[in-house]
Amino acid sequence: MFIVVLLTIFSVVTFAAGQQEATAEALKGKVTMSGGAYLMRSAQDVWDTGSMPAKYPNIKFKATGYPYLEYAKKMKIAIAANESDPDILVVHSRWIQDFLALDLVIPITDHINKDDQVTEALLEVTIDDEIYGYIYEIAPVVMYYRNDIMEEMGFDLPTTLDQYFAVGRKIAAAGKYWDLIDPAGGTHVAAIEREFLNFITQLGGDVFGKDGSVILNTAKGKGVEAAQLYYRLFKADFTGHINAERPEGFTAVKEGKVAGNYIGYAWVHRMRDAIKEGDPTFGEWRMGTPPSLVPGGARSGSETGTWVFINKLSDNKKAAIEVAKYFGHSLEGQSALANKHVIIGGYKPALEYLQDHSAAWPLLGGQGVQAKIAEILLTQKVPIAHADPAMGEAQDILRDYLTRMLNEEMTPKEAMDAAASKIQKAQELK
Amino acid sequence: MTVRHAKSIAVRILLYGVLLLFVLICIFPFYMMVSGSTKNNSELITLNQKLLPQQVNFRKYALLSERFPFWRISLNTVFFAGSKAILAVLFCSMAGFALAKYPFPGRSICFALVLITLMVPFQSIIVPSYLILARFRWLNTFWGLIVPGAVPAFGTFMMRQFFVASFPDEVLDAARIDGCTEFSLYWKIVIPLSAPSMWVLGMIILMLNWKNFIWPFVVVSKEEMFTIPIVIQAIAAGGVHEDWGQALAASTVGTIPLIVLFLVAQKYFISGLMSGFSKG
Amino acid sequence: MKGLQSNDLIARIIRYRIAYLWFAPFLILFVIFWAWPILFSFNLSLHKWQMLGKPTFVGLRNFGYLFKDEYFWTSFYNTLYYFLTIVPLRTFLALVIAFVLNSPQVRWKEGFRIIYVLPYVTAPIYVALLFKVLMAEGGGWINVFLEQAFGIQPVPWLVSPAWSKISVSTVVYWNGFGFYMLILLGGLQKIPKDLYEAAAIDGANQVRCFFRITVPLMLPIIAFIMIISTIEIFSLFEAPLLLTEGGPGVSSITLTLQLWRNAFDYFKMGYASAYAVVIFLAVVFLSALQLKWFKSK
Repeated sequence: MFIVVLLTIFSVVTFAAGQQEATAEALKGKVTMSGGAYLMRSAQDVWDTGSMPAKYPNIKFKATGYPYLEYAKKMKIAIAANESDPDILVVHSRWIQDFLALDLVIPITDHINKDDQVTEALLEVTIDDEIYGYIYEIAPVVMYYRNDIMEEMGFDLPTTLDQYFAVGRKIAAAGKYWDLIDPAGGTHVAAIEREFLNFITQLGGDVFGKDGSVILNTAKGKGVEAAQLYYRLFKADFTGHINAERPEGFTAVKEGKVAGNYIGYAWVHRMRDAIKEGDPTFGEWRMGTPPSLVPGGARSGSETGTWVFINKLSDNKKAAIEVAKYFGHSLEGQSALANKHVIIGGYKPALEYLQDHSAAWPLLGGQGVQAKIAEILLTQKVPIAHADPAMGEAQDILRDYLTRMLNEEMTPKEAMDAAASKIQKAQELK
Repeated sequence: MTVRHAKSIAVRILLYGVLLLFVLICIFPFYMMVSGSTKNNSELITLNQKLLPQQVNFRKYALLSERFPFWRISLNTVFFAGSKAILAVLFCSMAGFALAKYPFPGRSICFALVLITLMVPFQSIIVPSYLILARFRWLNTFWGLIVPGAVPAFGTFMMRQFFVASFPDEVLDAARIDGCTEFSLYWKIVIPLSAPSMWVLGMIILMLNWKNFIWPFVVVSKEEMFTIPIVIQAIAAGGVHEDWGQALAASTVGTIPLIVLFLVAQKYFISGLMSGFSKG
Repeated sequence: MKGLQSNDLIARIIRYRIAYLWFAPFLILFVIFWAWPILFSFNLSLHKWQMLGKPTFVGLRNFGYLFKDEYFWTSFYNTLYYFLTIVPLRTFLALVIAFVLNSPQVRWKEGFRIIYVLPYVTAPIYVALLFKVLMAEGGGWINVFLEQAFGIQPVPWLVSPAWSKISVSTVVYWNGFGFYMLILLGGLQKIPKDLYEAAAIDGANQVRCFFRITVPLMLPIIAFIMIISTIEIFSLFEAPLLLTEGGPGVSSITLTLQLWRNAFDYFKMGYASAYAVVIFLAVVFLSALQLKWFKSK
């Protein structure tokens, strides 16, 4: 009898221990992740310096980055060749519809807590109530401004469009710029169509409807309104016709000619590169919440986001999901990405954490940049431009017609109509 | 001093003037490349350009090797260009020899194939090349970089011209009489005697592939397999860290070796380019 | 008689069989990496394909769209523009300089030759980068020089649709000049000196010599250069890619750039193949045309 009890206890204990080992053991093997170069370098760094290697010693994680316009092509080829590698795909909105529409990724609805994610970004990857990806990064537009000039001239940060123009006129009178728009259109990174997309989403419109139709030049899409506003901004006295993301932009900044810039928050990366040169004339820059473009409207918009997907052909899905969750749906992962690499996503607990635990930026007078962006994401329902399989070409088409509009070859309405019809043709050819 | 003499001096001054102007135009961008790679971005693009940099610093080079595995990339470039050159010399001379010295059935068709390949732009086969390489799993590998196009039509054409015009049949016949087989004829007689031409071809192919951007751009997307031209595009085409000083640094590293090689072997290059083509 | 001929054929195959071995590497690589891709291209242009899944046959629809596509015509027009503004003038300049370098009045010929070829030895992508910095908006060297030396207002090299093609052309000039000059120099040196001497005795000056003797004798080489230049211009890729990305708008875009974008950015493989087919046919047609024209001379 005693032996039976002993044996039972023994087997129960072994069994329990076995279960635990099975859990930690089940999550092992190689997990690969692929995406844009900067995002992947950051991910690898966050993984290596975080708690995950200790927690899951059997998982070998490798993030491989490719140049921005290359990675989608590379991923598609891998999947076309029936490759299980990469297990995790990190994709910008320009291409997500390709992967979603072609049924290349698995749903992760059971592994995500919807309430913990910023809703607007989640909707982009929700099809028939199934959620397919975690949010890795959202890129809201912000208002950069020179705090010292603001104090010297005695104005407040504008919260409405009219205030924005009023402040702009004062700044123009002082011989400085309040915004920078490049009449040459910029390149795919620092491009005017991305600024335009920020506008159109902030106004509540979009290029594509949720059903995939082109609504750019319809009343619902608000494209013409956005184009007219963009044109008005370009023509204002206070707008410099320089590319903000290029060396010439920073030359103007360092020569003290620029008092503000309404641009995606990633401008801070370029600042960090340009100002390491050690220039005292840089001025006291801060990051602020942009004004609303319509009464009661959102005070920011986002032309793109990045999501984390799991490859349907992955042979290590369980581990891949854990890793993906770490980067897109965990406090440690998301806050590390934010504080070390200024990549801010949509995981609410992390955003709240960042409000009090943001890295201080000496460049911006010690301001917590991450805190500011997190605040915008939490308090403003930042809409994200809806992507479509033809999004890549649509962006190039928009850039072309917006450039023509800025150079006075077309009116805003003509430009939007022409762009819309060309985008429709592009959709048909895909 | 006669009028004629004065006129001839004036003409000379004019000639040299023009030539020197062209020299300046040719040299200045190189100077800017090297000096620019030592400047900060703010000095590089500014209305206050100075001919000499304020202080020469090599930070850009350090940044470059932090950001990319630059040693590996440079080696890739050398290996790629070098292998292409060796394979081209070997196979082009074979094919050229066959076309020149053996009136085999089908020779005119084969020669026509070579000519057609010369006329067609590479762009027409970018997309299928990429897909074929993907199917072979040769993307991002040296196989994929080197094997396709290892026997350039231009090289075959050049070698064929050389063999037709400058390689005497008598030497071959003499060797045959001495009992040499056709196979060893090539290795023992032809190669040693056509060495200068082969060097020329090798140098030209080496240079062309060192300069080649579009083929590695098609085949390669992993950083470890980059060649230096791709690095330029990766840096200067935008992205989070667009840094032209770094791009200039990379260009300097990519250009200087080839220029040095060119200066050392310029006899080969120039004579090859000058004569290889003028036979039309 | 026929029996004898086929015996003859087989005899010749056997006699020259080593040639097949020597030619084999070229032939094998030609078939796999040239012929197959060309056929693939032609075939794919009749399909619609996103790189995943199976291609769908659409017949000539891609071509139908292509000929109505504003961007196609713009890139085609740009390519012709590049051809007409670059090739004649560059060839002429190269010929003039080659002529000067060939003349006995000039010393240090080797030195000049080497320097002029240096730009050619540099990869087009580096050249594009160099000029991108030289022509940069807001303080590139060229504008600074022009303003300080001649008081000229800054030229919007890369940011104005009117200037973007000219900027790209400059890169192509600088990069290719040395190469063509060398070829022409090679040809010039083959012209027998006694022709010039005879002309000098007859009282002809340098300029007349140039146009009456040099140019006609150089016609075959010039023809060769024109045909190579055709291929070069239709293949323009690095310069517009790095300098302007085809912009502003689409003012400097080329056929190859559009092909690239459609294939690898928009994943419209069938449509991109249609571009490829058109480029192929255009180059072959233009080359054949030029060959015929020069042969008639």
